[in-house]
Amino acid sequence: MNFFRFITGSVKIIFRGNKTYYAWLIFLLLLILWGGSGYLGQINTGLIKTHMRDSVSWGFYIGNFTFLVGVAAAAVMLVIPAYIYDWKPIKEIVIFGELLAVCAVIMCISFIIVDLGNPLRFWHMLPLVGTMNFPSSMLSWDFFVLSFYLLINLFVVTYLLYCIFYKKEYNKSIVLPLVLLSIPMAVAIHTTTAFLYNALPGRVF
Amino acid sequence: MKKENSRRSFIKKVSLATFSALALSGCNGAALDEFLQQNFRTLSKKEKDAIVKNLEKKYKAKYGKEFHVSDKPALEGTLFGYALDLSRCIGCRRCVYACVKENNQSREPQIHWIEVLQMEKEKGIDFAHSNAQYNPEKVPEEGYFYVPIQCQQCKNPPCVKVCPVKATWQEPDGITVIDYNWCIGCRYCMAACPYGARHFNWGEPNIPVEELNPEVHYLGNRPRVKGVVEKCTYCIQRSREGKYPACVEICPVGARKFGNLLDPDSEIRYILENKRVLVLKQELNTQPKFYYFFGI
Repeated sequence: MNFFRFITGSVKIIFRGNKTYYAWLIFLLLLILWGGSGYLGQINTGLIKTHMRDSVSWGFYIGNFTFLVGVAAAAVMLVIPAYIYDWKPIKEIVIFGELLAVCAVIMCISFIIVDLGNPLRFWHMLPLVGTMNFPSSMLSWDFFVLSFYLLINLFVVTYLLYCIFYKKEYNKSIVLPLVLLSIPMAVAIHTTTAFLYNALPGRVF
Repeated sequence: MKKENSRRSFIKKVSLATFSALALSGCNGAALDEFLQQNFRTLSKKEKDAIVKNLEKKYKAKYGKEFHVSDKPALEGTLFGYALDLSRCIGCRRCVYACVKENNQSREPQIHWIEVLQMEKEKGIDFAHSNAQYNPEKVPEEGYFYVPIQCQQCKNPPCVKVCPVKATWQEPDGITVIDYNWCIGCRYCMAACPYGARHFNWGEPNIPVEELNPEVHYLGNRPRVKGVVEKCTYCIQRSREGKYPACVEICPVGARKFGNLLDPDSEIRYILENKRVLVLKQELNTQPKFYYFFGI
């Protein structure tokens, strides 16, 4: 019940703002709807709409995915001084860094899903219900590492925001081990882009 | 009192709605079965037979033609090898078009499993300056030679290594195949293939019904859908029946040789033992089973 109240309370806070704030939200919503209609067109006619072809089979989708993986991993730059070196000034914005990491990872996974020719079949990548080609395929490693990083950050951020909402002190023994785990995980998600591209022999025709 | 009743009735309504939704969705059983179908390699013989029958029914409904879908496994003691005589190829592209007809490739958007590269005799094998869009009045052109490229069926295939869902694998007879019902269309295999042998169905494939080849193999030339990768399978529907691939049969100058590498008396073994043989991009260690040689 407490958690449900936290969710509804947070939603109320999100919708509290002045005209400029609402204008910004509506602008973002329009962009989302524009993208959504584009994707709907892609689902209907196929990836041919993206003008990617056999010779350049990966384009903007994978490029943006690569960029956002970097953004997500950058949260570690705020986490290290805050939790390892216990530097007070940065503790105020470290939670923003983790929130940004969560958003960036969700966008990464979304970019992969929109890039798939058969997005409904993504469950084929899961370990028990499908056939995950781990560790041979870098895309499998990708998926595994991104999901894990998302779960860690999502849990830590939700817990911290929950504590702030009820004006309680957060329990260090819950947060600290997870945050320390997120540091090598941030390095791990960055390896995905390196391995993904490096393992490919290029060709000129 | 009132509050208790409204919560109970709400739960009742929601569960009834969910149950009816599930029941209704179960009506389209065939589509649901196909969606939940597992990786081809993990299926039992009975499941494979059911899937094949289902496919034949589906193709009959869609195209109005009687299809024969085979799921014949690899023959015992076979490892297919291919050799192409670079001194004979004239670049006529008859192999390209025969392959398109035999293997039900999409006409619009156009997919060709074989790509013929024109290279200068002076430079030799030089991919950077090759031309796949040559279009003269007559072939062969003076000073050029032709290198047709299709799936090299590598012994160490980079495409198999990178597939995140194991939708592509190499069969015991050496043919690298794709399960079109398992492929998620991520195109990693296409980026990994150094020969550009894999092609993607960017849009819904279009084949005129009268040009459809109804003798198909589950892992080979059965009609594909949009969003899956496809490639040369050494005409798996023919080679597993003891016939030659379509490209071998159509070549007017006899530049293409095909056979069983494990048979010491085969033509392909003779070529490997007695001719000047090369493979493409040897430095990448993909170990292709598609050999190029100079016959004359």
